[in-house]
Order: sequence, then C-alpha cells, then structure tokens
Amino acid sequence: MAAAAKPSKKELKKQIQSKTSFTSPFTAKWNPLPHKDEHFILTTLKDKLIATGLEKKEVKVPRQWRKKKEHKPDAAAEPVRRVSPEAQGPDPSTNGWTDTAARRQLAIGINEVTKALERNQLQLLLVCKSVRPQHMTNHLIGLSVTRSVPACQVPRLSKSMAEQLGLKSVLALGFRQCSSKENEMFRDTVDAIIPRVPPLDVVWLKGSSAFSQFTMVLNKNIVLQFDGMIFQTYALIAHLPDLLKKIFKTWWVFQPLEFTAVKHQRWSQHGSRTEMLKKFI
Amino acid sequence: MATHLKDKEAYQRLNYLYQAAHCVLSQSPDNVELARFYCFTQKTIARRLVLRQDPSVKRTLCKKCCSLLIPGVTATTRQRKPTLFFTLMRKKEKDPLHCGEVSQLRPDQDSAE
Repeated sequence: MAAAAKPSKKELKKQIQSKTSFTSPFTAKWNPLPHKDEHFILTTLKDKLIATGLEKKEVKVPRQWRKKKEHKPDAAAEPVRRVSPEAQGPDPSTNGWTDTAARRQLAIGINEVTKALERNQLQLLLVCKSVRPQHMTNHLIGLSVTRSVPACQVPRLSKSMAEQLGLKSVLALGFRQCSSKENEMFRDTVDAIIPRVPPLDVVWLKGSSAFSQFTMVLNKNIVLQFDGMIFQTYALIAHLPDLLKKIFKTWWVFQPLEFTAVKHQRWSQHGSRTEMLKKFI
Repeated sequence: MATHLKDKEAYQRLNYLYQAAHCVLSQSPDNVELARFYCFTQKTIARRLVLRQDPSVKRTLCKKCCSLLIPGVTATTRQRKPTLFFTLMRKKEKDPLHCGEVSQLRPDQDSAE
C-alpha cells in the first residue's frame, strides 16, 4: 500500500487558514456484503431461531414501589449490558430464555461477543450494520481478524434478530466453538453461512503476512541504527523512505527483528552510523 | 495548499512511526515496549512541532503511557451504560505495562467516518 504523508486539509475559503492534521493511514472497514448473501444469512438465521424456538421472555410487571426496584440493580452489581442474558424479572419460572443450552452456544451482545473473541471462543461472528455510532462495533474488526474468525456486517441484523429473540437489540451475534457433543443445532447454520462471508481486510496485519516472505538483509545492528536514526537525526529522516525503497521496494514496511526499545545513544556515535547507512544510499 | 517542507517531513515521520508500531505488534504481540517507544516518539514530535493529530489516531494511543492500543491485543473494549450515555471503555491489559488507563467515548463524540 503506497503511503505518502497523510495530512487532511480543510480549506473552505482562501482567507481562512488551513490546518493540516495527521490522520490515520489505517481505516478498518467491513467488507460489503452482497444482497443475496445478506438475505440468505438473515433468512437462515431466522428460520433456525424459529425452529429452535429460542427466545427470551420477560414479563413486564407493573412497578409498585420504587424502593424495591432500587434494590434489584444493586444486587446485580455489574455494568448493565444492552442485552442481558440473565433473567431479571420478578418471576423466574416464566422469565428467561426458553432454551438455555442453545443460549450458551451463542454470544449475544457486543460485550459478550468481545469477551468471547478475546478468549478465542467464537467460530463465526455477525455484526449489525445499522449501528449508530459505528465505533461501537469497529473494534470487532481487528479482533476477529487477529483470531481469524469470519465476520461480516449484516444490515438489519438487529431488527430481525431482536424481534425474534425478544430482545431490545442485537448488534453482535457470535457462534461459540463447540465440542462435539454440543451445538449440533447451530452447526449447520454456521457451515451454511461461513462460505458466504467475505474476507476481512486489515491493512497492517495483511501487510505483515504478505511481506513475511521477505528475507531480511539487514542485521540487528543496522536495524537498531535505523531506530536510532528515526528519533535522533532529523535531517536524515528524509533519506529514510528512499533507503527503504531501495532495499525493500516499498517504503513503509519494514520487519523489525526481535529487539527491545532503543535507548538514546550518544551523539558521538552519530557519525559512524551515518557512514554505515550511506552504503545503502 | 503548499505545506512547509519541514512539516511534511515531520508528518512522514509520524506516519512511518505509527505504521511501524502497528507492524511491530503484528509481528510480535509481546513487544509492546517497542511499539510504545515509537508512539512516544510520535507524540513527542507532534508536540514539539505542534502538529495536529486526528482524533482517530489519538484514540489509539494511550494518553498516560503512549502505548499503541489495539483492541484485543493491548486494550480491552467494553460497552457501558451509565445513565443514558453509551460509552466505550478501554484499558490496557498487558501485564507489565498495565497502566490502567481508561478512556471513554460517547456516542455524540464520534467523528463522522
């Protein structure tokens, strides 16, 4: 990915001074899902849910006393998620999920999905596209790519799933990885959906895997000195992209070897380093 | 529309360091220290030359210790709902460098991306 400096300028009129700012070269985006696949996914999921009859029932009880209501959230004592799987109704027998085993095989809700992703428990991830603000689910992109879990954005996921499941909104839905005994019910849906999911792109991760085939020419010392160069010699920085261009034929990707952060070197050593690097220019 | 040559080099440095930090973490997720050093330099450059960084970039840098925050690798993200605000929390969870810094985003704060 060719990258130059990325300042973003906003110049409305000539008189107004423009202010340049450094924007991120990475924009993690979801891959767009073609309509057919989208419909397919939604209908498959819906049929599956109807078939299993998974639903959360909550009986709305008229609130009588305010004091009594306050005691309940205290007892819960955890951050209330937008989608809570626990039955918090006053009557435990009719409230809650119809099928707890099935419920355990799913991860519903952003927080639950995030946690499951962090623990590598998911095999498929579906995210609702109609999320405002987008930031709420953006972190899932990077997470799922690092753990190589297929994930996609499906518009109107929340609307269709929430109605079916009896929840307020379903912004993220994950299917947990199963042992052979469990999760027979969702496995067919997962297998049906996975091939339809487009691959995710995260530039900095993808770049590294693609360039991992590069053989490192430089040894440790020189790379260390590259680092020394970066923060000490300001003037020579201009040469750096050209240097790397000649060595790697890309200008921004470099493979740091295993070394820790460079401590500040003394200026007296500065001369020898530039000599060394000049060989490459 | 012409930028100062000095600034342009500085922006290139910022860009390079930012991408290098990402590269480092993708290569060896344990080497948080190096990524932190790159981001620290990046911040220092921006501060010395008074260069504006986009909020999207600043959000990925820890304010306290300048490490690069990547959800799942160096940071955890959660949704919270105190009263009516939906906020995202981010913490650094890496053990030796756990600075415990938490940053919150509100839904109205997000830049239109």
